[in-house]
Amino acid sequence: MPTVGTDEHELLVTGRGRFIADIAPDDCVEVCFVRSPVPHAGIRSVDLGSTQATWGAELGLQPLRLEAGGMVTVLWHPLPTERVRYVGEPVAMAWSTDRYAAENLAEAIFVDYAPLPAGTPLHDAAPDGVLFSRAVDSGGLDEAMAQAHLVLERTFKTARQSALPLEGRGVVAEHDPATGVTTLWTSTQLPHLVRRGVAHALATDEDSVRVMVPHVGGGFGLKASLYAEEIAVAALARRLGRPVRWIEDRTENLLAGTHGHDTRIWLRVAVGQDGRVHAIDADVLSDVGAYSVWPGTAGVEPATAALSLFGPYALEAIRFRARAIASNRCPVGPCRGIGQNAAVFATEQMMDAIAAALRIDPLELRRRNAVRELPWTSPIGRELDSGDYLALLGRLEEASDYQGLLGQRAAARTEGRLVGIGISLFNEISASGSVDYRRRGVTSLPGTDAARVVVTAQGRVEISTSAADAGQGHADTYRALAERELGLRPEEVEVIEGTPRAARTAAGPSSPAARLGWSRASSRPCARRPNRTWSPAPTSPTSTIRCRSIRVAPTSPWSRSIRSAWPPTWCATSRSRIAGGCSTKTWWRGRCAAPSPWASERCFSRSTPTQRTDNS
Amino acid sequence: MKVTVSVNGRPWSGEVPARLTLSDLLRDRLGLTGTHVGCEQGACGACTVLADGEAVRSCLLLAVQADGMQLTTVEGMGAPGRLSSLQAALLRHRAFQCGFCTPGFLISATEILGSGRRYSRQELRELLSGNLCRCTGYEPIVEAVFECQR
Repeated sequence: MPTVGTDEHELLVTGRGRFIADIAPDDCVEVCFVRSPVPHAGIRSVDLGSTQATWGAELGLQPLRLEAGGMVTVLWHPLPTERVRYVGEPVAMAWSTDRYAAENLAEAIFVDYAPLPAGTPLHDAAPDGVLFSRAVDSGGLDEAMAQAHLVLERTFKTARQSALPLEGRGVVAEHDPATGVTTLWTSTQLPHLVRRGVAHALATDEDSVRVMVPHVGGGFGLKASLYAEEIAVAALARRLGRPVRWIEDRTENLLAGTHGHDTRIWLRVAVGQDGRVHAIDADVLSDVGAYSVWPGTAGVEPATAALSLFGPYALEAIRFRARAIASNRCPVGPCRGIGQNAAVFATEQMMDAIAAALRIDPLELRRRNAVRELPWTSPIGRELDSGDYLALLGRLEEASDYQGLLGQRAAARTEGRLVGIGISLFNEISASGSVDYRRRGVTSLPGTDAARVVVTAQGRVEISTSAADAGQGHADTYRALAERELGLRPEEVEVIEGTPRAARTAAGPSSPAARLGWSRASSRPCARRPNRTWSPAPTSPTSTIRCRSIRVAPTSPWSRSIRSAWPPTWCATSRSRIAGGCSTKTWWRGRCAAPSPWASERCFSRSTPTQRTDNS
Repeated sequence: MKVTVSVNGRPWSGEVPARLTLSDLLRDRLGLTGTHVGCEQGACGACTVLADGEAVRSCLLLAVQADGMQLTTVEGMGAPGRLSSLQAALLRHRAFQCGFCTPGFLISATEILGSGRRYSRQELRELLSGNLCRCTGYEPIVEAVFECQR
C-alpha cells in the first residue's frame, strides 16, 4: 500500500520504492512451488521428502466455484489433489530460510502423475470442453445476406500472449494468532478480490484477511486475478505461525501467470454496392485454458470480443455466437484489451478486405460506415452515447497527410517496395462496474469502488481509494482532482491506495470508477458525516490509528511503510457504480448514481482512430 | 567463500555460498533493494549495476565473481531531495510509470554518460536497448539521457 506523497516519484527514481520482493519480515521463510510438468494427469501420490513441504491435501483449502452468467460451473482447487490440468499448475510447496534452500527441498518432492490420454475432458461438468457459450441475434441477418451486393467471409486469429509485467508476482503473508488476522502483501491490481478469495479458500471471514499492496512493477491484467499461490502462502503462514514469502521467478511467470488474447473470430459480412456494411455474422471462439480464473474470466474474452465487433460502425443486423473452450494451457485472465484487440483486428482487417474488393478508398469506406448520429444504439443494444467518428477520421486524414501518404505509397511501389497504409477506427469499453458485473452474472464480487477523503486537523487531505496503482499514476489524477474540486495544493494531498481496509470494495485498478468515486467523495465531503467521531482500534498490530490528529503507530518491522487509514474522524464514502467518461458505454448509459461535474465530461474518451502500417 | 567488495564507496566483506548471485547479495544481504530482478536471465536489464565502472547484469554474475570490484547501485546515485542530474532528468521527462525498470536504466545511462561521448538519439536507443520498460515506452527515457549529455 504505497502512501503516495508528492515525493513518490523521487522514491522510485532513487531505488527507494518498496516492491513485493523488497518486503522480507524477520524470521520469514521462502517458498518454492512444485509445478506440474505434464498437461493433464491424475495425481497418484505425493512424497514430500522433508518436513518443510506440504501440498493441497494437507492444507485443507476450500475449492472456489468458478461461474458467471452463461458459464458452466466448475470447481477450482487452488492446489489440486486429484488432477492437474496444465503445465505449471502448482501442486506442492517447500520452504526454507532462503529461496536457494527451498528450491533444493522442492527438488526432493516426488509427485507421481498418471498422465491422461489426449481428448480426456478437463472438467466433468463440461464434457464438450465448452465453459461458456452465448448467442445473440438481432434478427434480419438472413435477409441482409440474401440482399447483399457482396458477402465476404474470413477468419482472424489473435495469438496467446502473456502480459509480462517486468516485475513478477509475489506474496508475503503473516498471521497473527492473537487477533486471528492474516496479513497478505501481494503484488496485485485487485486487493479486494484477493481478500475475498483468500478468505473463502481459508474458510474464514474477510475481516480476518488483510491485503496490502506495495509498489507494483506493472500488471497489465496479469495481476488482476486471484492466484493459487496467494491462497497457499496465506494458508502456510497460518499453519507455521511465521511470515511466509514467495517471489515468482520469470519461468513461473510465463508458465502460470494468466495468459490472454487467444481468440479466433470467423466473420461473414453483408455489404452493399456503396461499401456500407449492413450485417455481420460472427463466431467467436476463445481458448481460455484449463480454468476460468475466479470468479469467472472464461466468458470475458469471447463475449467482449463479440460485443466489440464493428464497434463504431452503423450496422443493421448482428448475429454472433461466442464460446470459451477449455484446454490444457494456462488459464486466460484479463490482459490488455480483453477481447477488444481481437475484435478490432478482425473488424479492421475485414474493412480493408471490403475496400479492396469494391475498390473503395479504405478511409472513405470507414467514413461511409461510421456511426453518424449519437447517441446510437446498435441492433443488439450496444449504446454509444458520445463521440464524433467522422470528425476523428477527418482529423486523421489531415494530421497524417493522407493524400501525401498515398503518393508516397505509390512512389514506393513503383520502386518495388511494399509500403502500405493501415487505418483503424475503434472505440473501447471502459468504466466497468457493479451493473456490468451483475449483467455478466458475477455474484461473488460487488464490482463497486470506494474512496474516502479525510481532512486532517492540520488541514491536509488524505485520499484513500480502493484502486491499486500498478504504474498508472493514479495519485497524480487524484491530486489534480483535489486541486480542482477543493482548491488544494498537491503537497497538501496524501494518497493511500490499494488497502481494502481503507476502502472496502473495488472494481479494478485502471477503472475510472475509482477516479469517479473519489471525485464524488470529494465533491460532497460532508454528505455522510457519521455520528461517531471515534473508531475502535484495528485488529492488526501494524496499523496506524487515526483519531482526530492523534496517531498511534505500533512498532513493527514493516511499520515504516504500513499505514492503514482506519475509519477517520469523518468521511465520505462513495460507491460509484460506474459512470462514464468513455465514449462507448455499452451497457451502463444513464446509470451514474449521482450527478457530478466530473461524470459528465469526456475525460476518458477513447474513440481514437489510430494509424498503422501494413502491406495492404 | 569469502568476498570483498566496495559497494557505493563502502567496503563489505563476508562469506557467501558459491551459488549466490550478485543481485541476491546486494538485495538480501546488503539490503540494497533498489536493484530489481526482473527476468533472472539477463534479458530485461532491471538488475544492472556498475562493476568497476562497467554496466553488468547482477543476476548473471555470481557474488564471488565480483570479489575485489567497486560496485555502484542505484542507491549510490542520489537520494530523495538530492537527486543526480540524470535522476532529475528522468523525473522531469516522466520517464517511468511503475518505476521497476528505472534503476537499471539509470545505471546503463550512467555508463553511457561516463564515456564522455555525445551520442545521437538513435545511438542512445541502441545503447539503452539492453534495458526493457513495459509501461512508458522509451521516448522520454531516451530524451532524458540525451538532455544529460548537454
